Amino acid sequence: VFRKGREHRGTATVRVLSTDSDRQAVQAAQRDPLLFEPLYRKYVAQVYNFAFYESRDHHAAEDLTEQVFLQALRALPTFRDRAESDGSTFRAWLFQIARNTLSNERRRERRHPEAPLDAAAQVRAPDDPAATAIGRDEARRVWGAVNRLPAERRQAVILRFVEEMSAREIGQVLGRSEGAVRVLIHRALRSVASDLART
Amino acid sequence: MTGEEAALFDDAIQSDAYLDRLLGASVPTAIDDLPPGLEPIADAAANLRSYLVRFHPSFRFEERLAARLRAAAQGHAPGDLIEFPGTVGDVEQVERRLRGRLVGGAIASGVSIASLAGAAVVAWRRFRSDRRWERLA
Repeated sequence: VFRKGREHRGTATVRVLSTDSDRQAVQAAQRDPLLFEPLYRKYVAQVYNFAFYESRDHHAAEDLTEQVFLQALRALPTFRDRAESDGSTFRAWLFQIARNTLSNERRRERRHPEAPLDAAAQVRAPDDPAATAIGRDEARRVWGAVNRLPAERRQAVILRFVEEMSAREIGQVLGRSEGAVRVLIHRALRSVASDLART
Repeated sequence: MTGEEAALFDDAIQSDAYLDRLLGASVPTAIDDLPPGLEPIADAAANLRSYLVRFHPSFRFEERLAARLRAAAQGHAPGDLIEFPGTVGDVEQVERRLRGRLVGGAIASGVSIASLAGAAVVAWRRFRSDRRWERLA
């Protein structure tokens, strides 16, 4: 049985970066794949969000999330080596898989999804239920501006604002330095600002 | 590094520090702590913070994928019969956790619970029907 929320705290010989808060859960899952569930439960919504903002479709996001976790479960024994070589956390590693899976899908379909931005209609105006209709229009404008960003800037923005990753962690996902990610996001914000001013 | 690149790098550091404050704050941060010239950045950031909301996958999807992962971890082929996960208590706990979030797809979590209960009934009836066939044989 998949044991919910339990972590195995045995005498681990596996060395993973001490800064990774998932260290013990990862070690437990490496010993017993059935203990992968706590990691899955912790990150399923985050991966799904990233997949949704990139695909703009709930079904596509579900497919992608499924591929990411099945692949992560298969590749979990290799995580140790990667962690030691590039200082990556489990979460960054998971998002690297998500990004690779997404780009493979894109290569297969040869396109980045345009709209629909229908899900933006579900977004309510913050702190003011009476302004919901205006909020939907605003959400569409903002989502449109993000959608028009080049892929790497768009992904950096999603990871920063939706997943609330630091520039350092985004760098681990994108394979860029912390400084490069800061510049990437700064440029993305400038693009979004001028796009919103035009529309 | 040219002067222009150095200025861009400096602005990027200030933007990043501002984002740290903005994303860590429970209410949107005032923009007067940003140097002049970066106000448009603050406006864009405030918009992104407000409208790039988090979604949650449907409960049904989350549980179905958990079952697939469990099967994969046990070395089962897709489609094999796996022990039914969780208890009613677990389901209620997850339901409480999901309240107040946007749930992915058209499937509301209440419907997912109904589906889960339906699946359990179907499985139970199939099990009973199999037993009856065994007795007849």
